[in-house]
Amino acid sequence: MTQQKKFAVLIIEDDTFLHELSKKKFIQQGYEVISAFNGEEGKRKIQQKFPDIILLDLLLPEMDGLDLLKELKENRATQHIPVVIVSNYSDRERVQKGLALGASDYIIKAHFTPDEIVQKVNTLLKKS
Amino acid sequence: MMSIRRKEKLIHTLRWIVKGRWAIIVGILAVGLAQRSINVVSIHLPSSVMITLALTAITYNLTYYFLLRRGMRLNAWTLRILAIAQVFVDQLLFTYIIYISGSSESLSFIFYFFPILIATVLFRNIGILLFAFVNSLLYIFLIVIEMNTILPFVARYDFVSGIHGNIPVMISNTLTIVAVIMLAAFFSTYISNMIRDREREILTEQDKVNSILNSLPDGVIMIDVTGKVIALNPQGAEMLQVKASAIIDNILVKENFIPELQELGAHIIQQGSHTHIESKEIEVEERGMRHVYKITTIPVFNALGKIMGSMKVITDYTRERELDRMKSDFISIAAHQLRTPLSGVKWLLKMIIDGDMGPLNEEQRKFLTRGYQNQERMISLINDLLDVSRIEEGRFKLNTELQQIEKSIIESIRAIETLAQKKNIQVRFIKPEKLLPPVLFDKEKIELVLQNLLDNAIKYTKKNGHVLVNILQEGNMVTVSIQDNGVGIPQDQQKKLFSKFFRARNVMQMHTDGSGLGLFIVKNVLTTHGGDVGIESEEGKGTKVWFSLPIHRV
Repeated sequence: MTQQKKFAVLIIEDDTFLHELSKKKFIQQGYEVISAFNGEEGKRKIQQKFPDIILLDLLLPEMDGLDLLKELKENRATQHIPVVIVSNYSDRERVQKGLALGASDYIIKAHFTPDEIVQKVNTLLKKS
Repeated sequence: MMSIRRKEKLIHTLRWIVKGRWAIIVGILAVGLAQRSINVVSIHLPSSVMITLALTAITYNLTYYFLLRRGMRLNAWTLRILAIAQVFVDQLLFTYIIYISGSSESLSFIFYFFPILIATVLFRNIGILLFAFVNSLLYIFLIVIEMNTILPFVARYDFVSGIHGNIPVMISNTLTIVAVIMLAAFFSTYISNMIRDREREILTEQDKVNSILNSLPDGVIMIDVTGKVIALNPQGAEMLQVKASAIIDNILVKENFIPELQELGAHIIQQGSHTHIESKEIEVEERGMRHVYKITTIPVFNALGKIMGSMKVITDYTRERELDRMKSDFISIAAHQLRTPLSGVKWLLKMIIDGDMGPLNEEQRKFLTRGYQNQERMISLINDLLDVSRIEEGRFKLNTELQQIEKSIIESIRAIETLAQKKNIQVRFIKPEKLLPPVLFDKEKIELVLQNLLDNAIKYTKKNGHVLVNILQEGNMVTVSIQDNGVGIPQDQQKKLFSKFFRARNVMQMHTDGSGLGLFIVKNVLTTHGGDVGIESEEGKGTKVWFSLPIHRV
């Protein structure tokens, strides 16, 4: 990684195992990782410090992922932060809704490897 | 007691007879006056008499008219007497006309056919014959009393006709006329019976149709070409919250419906196509409850093939849609729950293989890679099962768009490139020289089909083989074919290829891991698109799979 600044990625994921794995992968790839295990916590963490990108699970305790996404995109201060939905829901309605609400990408967990997720995040950050 | 229906019918008939009598009065008067002006000298019936007779007829017809204006307030007995009067009073009047126009010399007996005709409409069998008999008696009575000079003879012409006074001629004339009257009455009876039988048949038929309509669980409303409601069953009235009596025979307008149902009403009012059946689902919010109605518009033709209007069948789909929603929620949650632990295993294995968890030796890497491949198989099996359950519950909803199929082919080939390179199989797409018309299809589903077929072609072709993808237009269809020079499919197994969980004998040994669901999904996707799929194959030589999609011309 040849980046000058360490990018901060916020991982909002309630499954501790998946959370741990992605956290490890992103740290290895030179990212600063902020962790949140539910929607409310995610919201708090964003208010503390704006991350450069957010990985958002949909089925979350406390606050549903799509509701959080909607709030983020409606708020002027946070709407610029790219959000990648990382979920195992693959029904079209949900994918379309997520993208319509302003998510930059929709990743189905079972169809991607951590490697590929990091690559997607890299590309998105290069663009912004 | 007379039923309301019969009463209504009788009043209706009597009104028609009164109307008809106006024409008869005018007609007979005109003929009489015309005859007189042609040959004034020889005809003895003065115009003043003719006009007096006409006035008499007008008077009693007016009486009938005013009586009938009371309509349903008339009691049964008055109606019966009115019916008898319709025939009898005319018979008396015509007998008088015959008398003053020359009795046996008169041609006016022809008028007797009017009361017989009226009797046919009002009565049947004995009724008609009885009136014909009364009529015959009146005529015979007239001739007899005149012959006995009880009444003076009024000659019709100023020359001697040779009939009056000649008894044998008079008897034979009278008998002939009576016979004709009776014969006419007899045939009238026959015709009236026939009409009644027909009427009965129609009524039973109507009854049958009505009871079918009324016992349907669906709402049915029939609208003619002018927008008038012809029929509405109780279920329809309930669903639309309208009163049948208020809208039947009236032009249907949006304002007939309560505000919540006006969108539904708008679809009911629409005539729809006169060539084919259309259906539409409409969601309605009614007193806080969500209802789903399906309206099917069916053009209705009469026996001559002329369009009569359209029939709307309204089906309550609320429960079905709710069940659909619950099922699809269940499936997406089940998929989610199954995939989540698998994702963890997948991510972990991949990271270990990639060396993210520390260095590995060759053997460890080899076994972990096999473990990784196994969980990939598990994920793809879950995906197949999901697709199948979506198909089976009829929820394989299409998200169609008019687009080029070429693009999807190129993308699908790109997706399987790595797999093909591993076996050194060349996948070639032979593009058509001319751009094909766009096709209406669901990109996601058709790409699923293409990937499935390409995946099969590569899996069941040995190393260094080739796969050719071809596309061409055949009439109203665009056909895509995928040809390989692989192992082929045994002849006797080709029929079962598209059934669920089926796998051909020879490929089972090659790849033990297939689910046997791929082609089942392929077939279903194409059927829902209105397309088709087929296979030509020879064992050991290769397989050609083709599928076609219809071109929708705008």
